[in-house]
Amino acid sequence: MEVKKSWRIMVTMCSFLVGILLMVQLRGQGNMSQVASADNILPQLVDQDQQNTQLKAENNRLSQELQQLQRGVNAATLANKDLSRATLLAGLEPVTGPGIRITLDDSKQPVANGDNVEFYVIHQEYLQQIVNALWNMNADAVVINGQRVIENTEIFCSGNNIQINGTTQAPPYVISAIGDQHNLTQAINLYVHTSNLAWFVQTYGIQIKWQQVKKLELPGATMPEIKYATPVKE
Amino acid sequence: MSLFKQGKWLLPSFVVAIALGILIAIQFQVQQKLDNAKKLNAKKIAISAQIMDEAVKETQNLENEQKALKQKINDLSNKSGGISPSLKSTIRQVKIFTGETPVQGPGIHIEIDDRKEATSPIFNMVDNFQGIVNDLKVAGAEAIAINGQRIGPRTAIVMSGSANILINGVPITRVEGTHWDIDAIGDPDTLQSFANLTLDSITSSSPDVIVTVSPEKNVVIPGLKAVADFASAQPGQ
Repeated sequence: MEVKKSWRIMVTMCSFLVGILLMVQLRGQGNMSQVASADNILPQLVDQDQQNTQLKAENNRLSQELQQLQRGVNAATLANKDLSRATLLAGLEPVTGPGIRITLDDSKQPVANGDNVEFYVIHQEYLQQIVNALWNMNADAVVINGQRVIENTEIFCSGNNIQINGTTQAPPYVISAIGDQHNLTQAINLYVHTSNLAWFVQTYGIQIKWQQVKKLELPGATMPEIKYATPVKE
Repeated sequence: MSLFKQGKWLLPSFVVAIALGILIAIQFQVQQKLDNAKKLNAKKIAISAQIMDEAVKETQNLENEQKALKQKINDLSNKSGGISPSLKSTIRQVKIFTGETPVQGPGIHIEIDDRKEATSPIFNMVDNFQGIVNDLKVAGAEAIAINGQRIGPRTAIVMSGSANILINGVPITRVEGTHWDIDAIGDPDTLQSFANLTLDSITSSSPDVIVTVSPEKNVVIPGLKAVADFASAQPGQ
């Protein structure tokens, strides 16, 4: 009887303590979800900041334009300057500068028994990923097999070839990019070591090499025809 | 008390008491840390909100400034003979290819809702976006935007760390309660059939992802606010 009584006391005390622990724990959980929600504002903040940086840059350009007008520079002269800047930045003019040249080629190894031949060839994804990595490192201009990559350039697999700007290109694929040589080299280094491509290079003999080039001369693209899009009124 | 006389209960109760003691100690320690975290977090929220407020105000100021500048430039340029409408329109046309001119026209709207897909890591979406953008370009898309970010000639779609996708250097975050939005201008039928190349592979490998493609009579795609000058490239011949 006495044992049972002490039992009861102990069970009561334990339950009581466990109850308190549980309560405290649950309160803690609530806090945790709050901690997480504070981080959601960060991307918005970066977005807003990025917007401001872009606006500042554009306002600077406009201020300069205004100053030139105030100094008596002809409006048409300024507009023509604006046009040539846009034509250059759109990739519609040839450009020259330092950069790197990357060469990708299908594997020269014989396809092993039971292996998929797809493992041995260059796919559009590799080119897409490399071009993105180069833009990410602020490349100014990118050309693949003589085709300048512009706003609407496709890199599209068709059979053993890849279609770029409506033209059919075959391996080897030579990607030339103008930009900061150090940054561009870093971009390709990182890509080769962290992407799926590394596996295909090692296992199936896909070929990739790159070199820095002091002076690349890259062609411009022809301005594509616009059929559907119209400028939104200012 | 009999409890202490009763030898066989002594050891277990002793052990339970110690275990509970340790648990309580740990719990209170955790609680203390959480309280600190909570305070810190409240501070963090307050500071973030303040910075956000300032950033938004700055955006408004800069936009007003830009409006005023454009007005002044317009007035002055009209005085100095103005710009011919054809030159103006050529500039606007070329700036479609720098991504600066906001455009509208027929096209498609794509929604990708992967909120139910727990196993699909976000970095798959980078490849998916690159793939979809490419499909749309093959289909003759004249302008494309993902979550309102215009795809310009030098736009990179990349991973930042392990949780964010950057487009034009801006984090494209799929905050809870939203889906990914992709807009494209071009022939709606062609756009749709090519977009399905990547979209079908997404839905077949991840059945929980909901993809909707709708043809639109008028898609409006914003322009890039500014385009950086070349840092290394010079005009060639």
